[in-house]
Parts: sequence; C-alpha cells; structure tokens
Amino acid sequence: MTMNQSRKVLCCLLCGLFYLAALAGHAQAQSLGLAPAQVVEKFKPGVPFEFDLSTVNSGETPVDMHVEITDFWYDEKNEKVFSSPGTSPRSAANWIQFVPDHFEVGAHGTQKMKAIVTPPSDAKGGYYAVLFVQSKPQLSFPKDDGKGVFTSMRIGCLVLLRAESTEEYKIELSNVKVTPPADTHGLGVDFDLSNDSNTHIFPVARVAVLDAGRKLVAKAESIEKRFLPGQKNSMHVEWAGKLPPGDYTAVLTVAYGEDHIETQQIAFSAGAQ
Amino acid sequence: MRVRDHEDLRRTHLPVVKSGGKVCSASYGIYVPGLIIFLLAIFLGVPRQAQAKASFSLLQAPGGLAGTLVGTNYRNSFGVMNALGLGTPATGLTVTALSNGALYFTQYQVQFQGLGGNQSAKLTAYVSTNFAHPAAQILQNCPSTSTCSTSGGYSAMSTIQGAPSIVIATLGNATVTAGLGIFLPDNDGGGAFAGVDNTGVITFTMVDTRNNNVLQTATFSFNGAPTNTVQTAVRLTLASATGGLTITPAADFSMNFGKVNGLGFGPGAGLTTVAASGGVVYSTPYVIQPVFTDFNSTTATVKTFVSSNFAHPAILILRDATSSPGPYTNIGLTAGTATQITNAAADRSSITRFLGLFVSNANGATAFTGSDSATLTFTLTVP
Repeated sequence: MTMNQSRKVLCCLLCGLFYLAALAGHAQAQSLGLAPAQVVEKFKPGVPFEFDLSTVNSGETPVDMHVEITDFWYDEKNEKVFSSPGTSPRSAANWIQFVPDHFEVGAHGTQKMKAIVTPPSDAKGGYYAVLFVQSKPQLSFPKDDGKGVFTSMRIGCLVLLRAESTEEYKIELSNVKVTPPADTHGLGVDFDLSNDSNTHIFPVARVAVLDAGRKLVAKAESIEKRFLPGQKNSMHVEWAGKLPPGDYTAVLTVAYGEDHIETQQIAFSAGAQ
Repeated sequence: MRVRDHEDLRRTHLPVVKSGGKVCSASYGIYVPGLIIFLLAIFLGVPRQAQAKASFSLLQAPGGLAGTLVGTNYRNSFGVMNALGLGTPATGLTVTALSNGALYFTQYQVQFQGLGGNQSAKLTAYVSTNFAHPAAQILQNCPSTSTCSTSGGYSAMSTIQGAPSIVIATLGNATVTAGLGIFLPDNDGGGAFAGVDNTGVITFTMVDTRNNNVLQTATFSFNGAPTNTVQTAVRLTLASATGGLTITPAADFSMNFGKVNGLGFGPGAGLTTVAASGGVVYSTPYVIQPVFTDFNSTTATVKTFVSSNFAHPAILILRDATSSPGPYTNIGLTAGTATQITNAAADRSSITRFLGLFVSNANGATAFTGSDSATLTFTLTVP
C-alpha cells in the first residue's frame, strides 16, 4: 500500500470514527427504548395469544427498525445465550410472529408492535425467546459515498412462557453456608440452587435467625432471581445487623413457583463483634 | 306495566283526598297546615336542606380521563405504564419522563353544587388503600391552585386520613380543574415491581369550611379496565464523551485528516493514536448510557459486535478498550462472540468506552484504495 493510498483509506475510516463520535453528540445521539423489556406469561397449550410492545426513538432523526427473534438459554457460566430460533432447548422463538416486523420510528416517536404467539398443543413447562428490536445501521462516512463506520443498536425483551397446569416444580439446595456477622460484614447465607423444574422460577430466599431460646432475632430476604429449567446458580441473603455471642439457628426458606417452599436449618455460632 | 304503575300511583293519593269527606273542603283542610309547614321550612329549614344537598362531582376534563361512577365510587385505570414513560399512555393520560422515573397524570374537573348562599367547601383527598406495591406506584395530587397540565404541579398524595392532601382549598358552587397522577420511580432490585396492581383507592372528602362538617365523600378506584399494570422498560443511548470527537456531520471531514505521514498520523482533536503490533490504532471515546426499570436485577449487560465487517478485514479491524491507552481487543464478529462491554451496568449509568480502529501497515496484496465500512451493533439486555 502506498502512502497516498494509506492516507486516503485512513482518512475515510478515521472520518468514520469522527462521525461515530459525532453521532454521540446531543444532536446525533442514538437513543432507543423498549417496553416491556421482559414478558412473563402463562398460556393454554394450543391457544394463540398476543401481547404488545412499544419501541421509542428518543433521537433527533427517524430510525428504521426491524425485529429479530432468537432463542433464549444459558451456558455453563450462566450467561445468557441468544442462538438461532429452534436451536436451544425449550425454544419459543418459532412460535412468535411480530406485527409489524419492520418499521420506521420518527424522531421522538413511538411504534407499537404486537407479538402473536402460537404455542403447540403438546407444550409442557416453560419455553423461551428473545425479541430484539434492532435499528438499521445509520451512521456512515463519508456522506458522499456512504462508506465508514456504522452503528446500530438492538434492545432485547426476554420472553418467558409457561404452559399452565403442566408445570412440574422441584428445586435442590446445596452448599448452604452461613457466615456469622463480624465487624466488617453482616450475616450472610449463601447456597446453590438447582432448578430441576420443567419451567422457570423466580425464587426468593428468606432467612430467620433464632437464638438458643428459639426466639426470632433477625430476618432477611434476598431479591428474586431468575432460573430457567435445569439452571444451577448461587443465591445470597444478607442481614446487616449484629448478634451477641452465642449459638443460633438460621432457618432458610426458599419460596418459588407460586406456592412451593424448600426449608433448611443451619446451626451456627456468633463470636464477639 | 307503566300504565298500571301510573294508576297505582294515582290511587295512593286518593285516600288523602277522601279523608276530608268532601272533595273541595278536604283539599282546603290539608292546604292550611301544609302552607304553615312550607313557610316554616322556608325560614328554618332551608339552610339544613341546602347543606344536606351539598355535593361534588368528579367530571372528565377536556382530554382527560373519565371515571365510571357507581354509587359513590369512581372507577377507572391508568392502564399500562412504565417508569421510563415509553410508549403511548392510555387515552386521557399524559406521561412525562423525569430523571428518576415517569409521571402519568390526568386533569379532571370538580364541580361543587348545592352550597347555600355564601357557603363554601373544601375538597381533600388521601390514599385510603394503597397499591399492593406502594414503592412502584405513588399516587400524586395536583391541587386546583396549581398548573395541572404539567408534571410540576403534582406531588405525592397523603396516605393519612387525618392529614389529607388539599384538592380544593375553598370553593362555592363552581367547577374547577385539579389533577391526579401516578409516579413510577426508577426502581430496580428489591423495590422493583412489574405486573398488575390495581388495588389503590383514593377517598375524596368535601368539607364545609365554616364548621368542618363533612358534606360528602366519594372514592376513586383504579380497578377499571384495561388493568392497571406496571411494565419493565429499557433504553440504550450512545452519547458523546468528554474529550471525544465533536465534529458535526456538516463539517468537511476530509479537511480534518490532512496531517499524515509515513510513520503514522497526527490525529485530529478527539482522536488518539495508540501503537499496535503491525499497525496503529486510532481511537475515540464514547459513552453508553443504559437505563432500565422495574427489574429484580440492578445490573444490565451491554455487548457489541461487528455485525457487518469491513470489506478489507485484514487491514481494518474495530477494537474496544476500557481506557484510551488500551489494551485494545478485537470486537467480536458475531452475536455469539460479542464483546461484553459490561455485565454490571447500573441503571442510568454512563459508561465511557474507547472504540479503536486498527489499521495494518502491511504492504502487498492486501493493500487497497478507497473507503470501507463496517457496522457495530450494541446490545442491551436486563438482567
């Protein structure tokens, strides 16, 4: 490559970077929104249903957008995986159609969309997909020949569906560990939860601490955490208070799947803090 | 049936007429005491009658939400809402996105009637039954003395019966405009809620300003249709970074890149060069701003990948770094190998990243003349 050639190419490409930065300026910023960003529904197998979504363009120029539907699953690191429709376990991606699936949203405008779900009659348990609303790459350089660095954005709406009356709930708790409160930290309860159900759950862990006289001296609650079928992950409950030295029992209760609970008791001792 | 009812009605009056024995004398005999009672009522009973009839009505303001009145309960719903104010609100509602949530509101009219003479009344309101998730939906009041067509006129409605919010401080027989709203804070984590919650009830009380006697009460319930619902919502913004490029599209781009030489480039304002093996990286900072509401998770994931690569991928490579000096790593070329910018983005955070363009200094067959293009796709998911 000659110096002139390099110069020309680099000029063009760097201008692309310039333009990318320029887009980020107030007048050129890309800003897209989506609501809802998570849909949790139950359905009757074989009975179609639908739900609405809205996408919003907060930018100063119209944005051409389309919808992409992918599977939603997880990998061995518990990170979300968005693979092609039908390639992951319990895929609902091929059940869903979007109307419209391609549209333009005006500056500071809103587009309403309808997702039509057609579940099969033999569906059992939970099924999953992601609805991505994606903008058309719109940032180019230079203007005269349309070349440069483009950017697009896609925003995902997680879809968690379950066939009603077909759920089979079961969880397993393991590695339950109580960390007594100390000067530098509060009381913590950590454990692993394996969702052996055939559907997703949003378990909440509650811990009650009883003293040697079985009197309640502390209680705490975790935030909800999403588990897909077969998924195993850790949960944590923390209580920020202090306990006098002595023997205690932590009663761990995990509520999940509407009306299911799992309970364990763990004895522990607190020292001087 | 109507004729028969009418006949029955006439018959009920007949015994009164007959009681006098003669039609004419009977009529006269009843009229005299009736007149006395009527006159007494004029002088003694009118204030009490007026007080008994004093009432208020909640009416639909132009362009506002209406309430279906059943007994003394007005019933409606604010429909589907989210804390970013995304989308179109239900008919009759206005939504204003705020820096910490969104306010959905409507104006309505209050009509006082039946007040006597110089009598005046006030109208108060309080949340007599809160939403099941009161941290997710906070009822708001706009008194008649404020501007209720904008969010600035609204504040949290009292939840205490003994210290209610003032809707109308004092008013005679007239109609004024007030406002009712629901504020959805930007909650994530433990305070987050998404779903149906229509349990809120407001109690309005009309009180005589002279003696604080309660003249009338009515309630407003949110259990109408469509169901009062809080949704999750997300928004992703790419914005400029301090020290980054600020060039505008109207600028003459080519003029900004004239300083080149055989060893590298004198980068223009906002661009930085970083030495790299086999070439050089030109970088610029930019900012990613994720916003998400009503998720159990307090963190979001942002990824990016090159969804459409350069036509000359051996020479031109898009890279990412957390700081200007780097290190710069190649950005993934597929959605499955996307580069994770963060999996712990906080709501309304600003994440500064550095986008680098690696340019190879290799000569030979891969050299080309002209421009090239690539597309980066940014993905936001929560949690």
